[in-house]
Order: sequence, then C-alpha cells, then structure tokens
Amino acid sequence: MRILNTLSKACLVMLVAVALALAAKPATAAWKPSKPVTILVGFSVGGAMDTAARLQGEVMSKALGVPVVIRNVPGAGGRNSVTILNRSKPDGHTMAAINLPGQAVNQAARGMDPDLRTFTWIGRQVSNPYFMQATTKAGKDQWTSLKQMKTAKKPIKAGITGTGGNTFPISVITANLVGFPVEFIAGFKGPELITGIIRGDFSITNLPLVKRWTTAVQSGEAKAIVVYLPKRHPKFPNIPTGVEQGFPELGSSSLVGQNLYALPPKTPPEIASVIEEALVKANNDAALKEKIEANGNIVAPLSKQDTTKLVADMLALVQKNSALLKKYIK
Amino acid sequence: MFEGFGAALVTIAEPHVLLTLFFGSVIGLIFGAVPGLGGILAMSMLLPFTFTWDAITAVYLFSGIMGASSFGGSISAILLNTPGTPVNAATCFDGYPMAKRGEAARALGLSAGACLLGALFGLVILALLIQIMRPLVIAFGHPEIFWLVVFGLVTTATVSQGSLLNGLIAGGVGILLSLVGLNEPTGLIRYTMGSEYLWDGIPLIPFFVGLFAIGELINYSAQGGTIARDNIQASIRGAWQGVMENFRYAVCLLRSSSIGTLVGIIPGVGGETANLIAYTVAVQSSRSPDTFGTGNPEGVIASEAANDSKDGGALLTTLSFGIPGSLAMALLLSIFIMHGVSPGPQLILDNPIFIWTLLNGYVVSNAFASIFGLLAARYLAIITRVPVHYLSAIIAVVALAGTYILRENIWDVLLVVLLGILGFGMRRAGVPVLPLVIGFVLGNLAEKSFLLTLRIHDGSYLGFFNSVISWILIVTMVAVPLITRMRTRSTPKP
Repeated sequence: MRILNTLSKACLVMLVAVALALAAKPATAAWKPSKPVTILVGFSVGGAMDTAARLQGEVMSKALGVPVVIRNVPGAGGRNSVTILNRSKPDGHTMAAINLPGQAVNQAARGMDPDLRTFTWIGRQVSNPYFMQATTKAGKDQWTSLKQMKTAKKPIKAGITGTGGNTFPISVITANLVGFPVEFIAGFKGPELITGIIRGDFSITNLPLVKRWTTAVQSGEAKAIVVYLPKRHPKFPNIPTGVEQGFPELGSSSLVGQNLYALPPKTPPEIASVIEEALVKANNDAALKEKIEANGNIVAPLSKQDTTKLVADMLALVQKNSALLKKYIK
Repeated sequence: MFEGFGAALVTIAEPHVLLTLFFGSVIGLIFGAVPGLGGILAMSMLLPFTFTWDAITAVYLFSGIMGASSFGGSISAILLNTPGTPVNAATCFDGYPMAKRGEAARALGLSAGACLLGALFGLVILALLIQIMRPLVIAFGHPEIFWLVVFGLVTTATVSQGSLLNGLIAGGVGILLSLVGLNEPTGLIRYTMGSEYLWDGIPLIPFFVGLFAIGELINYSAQGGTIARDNIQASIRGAWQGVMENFRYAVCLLRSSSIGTLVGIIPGVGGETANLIAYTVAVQSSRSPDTFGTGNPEGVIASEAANDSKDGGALLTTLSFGIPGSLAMALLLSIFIMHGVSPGPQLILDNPIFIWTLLNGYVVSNAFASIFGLLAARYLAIITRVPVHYLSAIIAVVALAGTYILRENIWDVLLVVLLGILGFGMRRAGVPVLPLVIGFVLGNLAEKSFLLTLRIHDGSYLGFFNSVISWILIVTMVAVPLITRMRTRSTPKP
C-alpha cells in the first residue's frame, strides 16, 4: 500500500513536472519571424544609411532565417521611415533605421508626432560624426578656428540642406554652444554644399565626416574647423575636436549623427531581443564592419538600454535648443 | 589618364564580364521601358548581390544598367506616349506622333542612334576634360542655373501649339504644381493641405505616369482603334533610316549632346531637366518651331541625345570631385567605396582602370541597347497596330503596379489616377501638355536658384549678372529666337 502511495505520489510529481515543462515551453521558445523582415530607410539608395542597412541586412537575414528586405522611403529628411514605423504592427517584421538628431527636431521643435521615446529601440546602425568646414576662397570671410568664429561681428553664413535631416540641428546647436552669430542659407543638395563652399557661396557648412564630403578639404579649397567627437577620428587625424578648442560640449555623443534601429511602439521584449541578437551578429562580422567603415562611418554597437538612453539624451538636447531651432522653422 | 585603357579593355573581353554587361543591359532595357521602374530601381535591387563580387565586374553590371535604361525608356515613350522614366518625357512629344503616323520603327531608330551618339559625345568630353573640369563645375553656380532654367521656361510660349493663352495657362499650372511642398530656402510648407505626403512636392514618377500613361489610356479607351492610324513601316530599313537621320540633323545632335553634358556636370540639377532644356532649345533654334509636337525627328534626337550625354557630365563631377552628380552616380560611388576605391581627383592617378572600366561598360551597353533597338524596332512597331483596348488593360496594370512598387505608397497610385484625369481633360480641351511639363520640371528649380542667388548675394539683384556665363546665357536666350526668326523670314518659302 505504501509502495502504491509512493508510486502514485511519484506519478503525481512527474505529471506536475511534465505539465510545468509543457506550460513553460512557449515562454522559453525563441520568437522567430514568419515572413521577411523589412528595414525602412528614410533616404535614397546608395547613401550611408542605405548601404549599412543592406550590408547588415545580409547577415541579419542568416541569423533570423528569413530574408531581410530594405525598403527605401526617402523624403522629408528621413521622416517617412518614422511615420511608417509608427503605423506598423509591433510583430517584429518591420523595423527602421532612424537618423538623429534630425528626427528629434520634428518632435522637440515642430511638435510633431510620434514621440520617439515610445519606439522600441534595439541598437545602433552606425555612428555618423559630422564636421565643420570653412571656405578658403579669396575675398570671402575666412575662419580658421572656433575661437576666431566667436569674435565674428556679423552673422556667419552657413550653408545647409534644409530644416530636415541632421545638418540643421547640429549647425544651430554648435553656433549656440560656441556663441557665434549665424545666418543659414538653406536649399542646397549635399553635393552643392561642396561646390558652394569652394565657390564661397557661404562661409561654413557641416557635413558627415565621410571621404566624399572631405574632397574640398583634401584639395585645400576648404579648411576643416572641427569634428564633433570627443577624440580625433582615426581616419581623419588632422581635424581637431571641439574639446581641444575649449568647447567640451561639442564632444557630446548627442551631437554625433546617429543612425539607430527601432521597432514599432509596444513591440514585445522577446521579439526585440531576437532582432537585437541578429543585429549583434551583424555588428560582430569583421568583414562587414570593414566595408561599412570604409565610408568613414563608425560601427559602434549599442545595447537596447543604451540606445534608448541616447535617444532620450538627444531629445533633451534638442528640446533645450528648441527656441533657437524654431526661429528657422516656419 | 590613358594608362588604364588597355587593362580595362582586356577585362571586357572576358566571357563572364561580357555576360555581366549584357545582363545589365537587358535589365536596364526592361526596367527602363516599364513606366515607374527605371534603372535606379534595378541598380538598388541588384546592389546587395554585388557586395561579394570583384569591383570591376560590379562596375560593368551597373554601367550596363545605366547605359541601356535610357533607351529602354524611349521605347515606351515612342510607342505608347508613356515615358519609361522621367528623363524620357520630352521624347513623347515627337516620338509618339511619329508612331501614330506609322513611323514607329524610324522613331526608334532615331532614338537608338541619338542615345549611342549622345553617350559617346558625353564620354569623349569626359575623357578629354576630366583633369581640367573642376573650374567649370565651380563656375556654374545658382545664378547660372537660374538663367539656364529661365531659358527653358520662356519656351513655354513657343511650344504652345494652337492657342498661346492655353499654353501659358498650362505652363502656369505646371509652375504652381512644382511649388507644392517644403520650400527649403524659406522653410515654408506650401499647398500641402496638411498632408505629410506632399512635403517633398508632387513626386516626379507618379506625375509623368499619370499625365502621360493614364491620360493616354483614357484617351485610347474613348477613341478605340489602334495607335498607328496609317500603315506602319515596320522594317529594319525604316529603323536604319532613323539611325542615319541623326547625321542629317548633326547640329541638333551636337547641340543637344552639349546641353546634356553641361546639365549633367551641374550638381543638383536632375536628369529630367536635361532632355527638356535640350528639347526647348531645339524648338527655339528651329526654322519651323510649329512642327515640334507633330512628329519632328529633331525632337526625338534632342531629347535622347541630351539624356545619354548627361551621364558623361554627371560622371565627370562624380569622378573629379568624388561627389555624386545624380542618384545613379551615388549608387556607383557606394560600389567604388565598398571595394576600397576612393573617388576624387586622386582616382584618375591611382586607379585609372576603374574610370576606363566604367566608360567602356557604358559605351558597350549603349551599343547593345542601340543594336537591340535597331533589330527589334520592326517587331516593337507592331504594338502600334494592336487594338488599343488590349493595350489599355496592359498599360493600366503595368503603370499602376510599377508606380506602387517603387515606394509602396498607395497615395502615389491615387495621384497617378488624378493626374491621368487631368491629362485626359487637357487633351480633350486642346490644352498642350508640353508647357505644363516644362513648368512643372523647371519651375521649382527656377525659384530655388532665384532665392539662393539672392541669399548668397545679400539680397542684391546684381548677383544675377556677376559672371560671364550668366551673360552668355542671357545673350543666347535673347539671340537664338531672334536669329531664328530672322533666318526664317529671309528664307524664301517654297
């Protein structure tokens, strides 16, 4: 009888164990995408964000077991990817590469939806440092350092693409932090900013620190004034930082252009973890890193938590300067 | 400069390279011919596959697509009055009337010849001037762009077939439509009715697909019959005649190729501008401007020669500055960079083989496309004898699907339909479409150049007259129609 009791108890324990195991299975099984994952890119094909997304997408596709498709939705300085992502289902099949601080301007200075803090941030695509260059055209105002610019009596003409994108907030915040008067001339396309600085259409411009945008500096037709990094860029060691020139705030990571990956708001954590894992695999691929960095961008992986914090910091910085930014936004 | 030529020529003889180039050309032709798609889409779709290729083969693939897509776009422009890509818009104006007259094969021959010769012209200029080109690119600033664009805009009056008033109204509406969206120089968002969709203005591809393809489709359905009203001359001889006519109109060919190259050189001015400015200058310079829009071969030559020569100009800016002159060039640059090749002035000295690879590939793909055009013209011309009811269904599906695929935005499709109704209404009311297109493509650029010139020169209007190039453009703008008119009057009428 005792034996029977013991056996029935053992059976009961086993049944409970099996039941618990069965109940626990769905919770521990990793989520897997059931169809291709789309990465929204708010810029045209061939740009830095697009190229990095395509390269990372190849590796992520192997990790996720489904194709990763790049969908370019250019326009409005990258905003299209934000609005489409906000409307997408939080099922892990749509993510976006988002450019900051450019997109922070729409929220903090234009008061537009959505709140970027509601997105499920999963990591960094690339870090995209910017640098300032000044014309060396004879007969035009010539600037050689930030300290000299601080002494300007009349507004310094700065060429920008427009009030969308990263160039605008970086230019406004820099002028404010250094304390020089500035007048923006907007409406140039990227390549026109190079020919414009050579021609002397404006005195300064801020552009991403990639090889193609340093062509005027290389030829001596423009002078690189500052790179917005805490330390000099290893590929461009001749460009001084703001920290060296006595403006430590210019080394803040909030002033570095950041392309960050996000999932729609309210994406379940287990889905975000799977996507993050695939992104980590892509970022650890040495050959891929070399190809992305050939362009001048920096592959610097960031965890979900750190990415979320970076977004909050960038929003706070833009918010702090929103009164200035609003002066140029109609 | 010529150092890498031999080495690049050797690579093209390798079977896998030739096959890649041929594959690229076929893809370019197909994507160019289907309204809404275009070579850029083909290049971006194939970009990831080339990451693991060697750089030379990848460059051949892309030059193949680039070289052939323009001619591909002219096929649908001539046969269906539907530009395959925005850069073929001006080809419709005379190519399609030729097709309606039963001369589709001749028009395709004209286009094939103009594409190849225009491309060769642009590349010869590139090869000759690449090392001394920087000063010219720099000399072309916003005041010069403004005058170049105004040159095109004033033609609105000349190309207003029938009623001048109708033409001016159409041109005005085109300019108004071009002003929709965020105006970057002032920061104002205009005429968007609160919609973010219109922030970047009315997108070009839905505009052209709607106005031309859908507008014509409704017209087909209303009229019935076939596109070609007369017997068609669908023979290889007809196509060859078209090719040879390029030499008969050599002045037009050279002038349009020069304009195309010049527009290509200027960063920030799109390819769709090159064919329209070349076309409008051809109208201005003609002794019989009334014949444009009715099937004048010079119209096809002007548009297509400018289209293909502009790539030589854009390459020049891309290679000499390392900055992309167009979207296609941006893609090409990313291929270069990905393979460790830095574009810029040093490229000519460090890696001349890349430049020659690109040039060889571009010439050969243009030759592939032109030979295809020549051989296939007689078969393609048969499309103009297919009952339009069948054609309408196919065009509707292809045009709407092509537009949607490009950005996966349903509003683009709605816009296509709305503009289609506008295009049909204009045709029915006898209002010419050409001034509307000129106004739309050039209006925004004219305003932007105007505002930027003023901002750069502290609000002084003298900025418009500071340079020699500005004065050359102003004098040419006034002189060309005057001289043409005087010559026309002095020529005894037969």
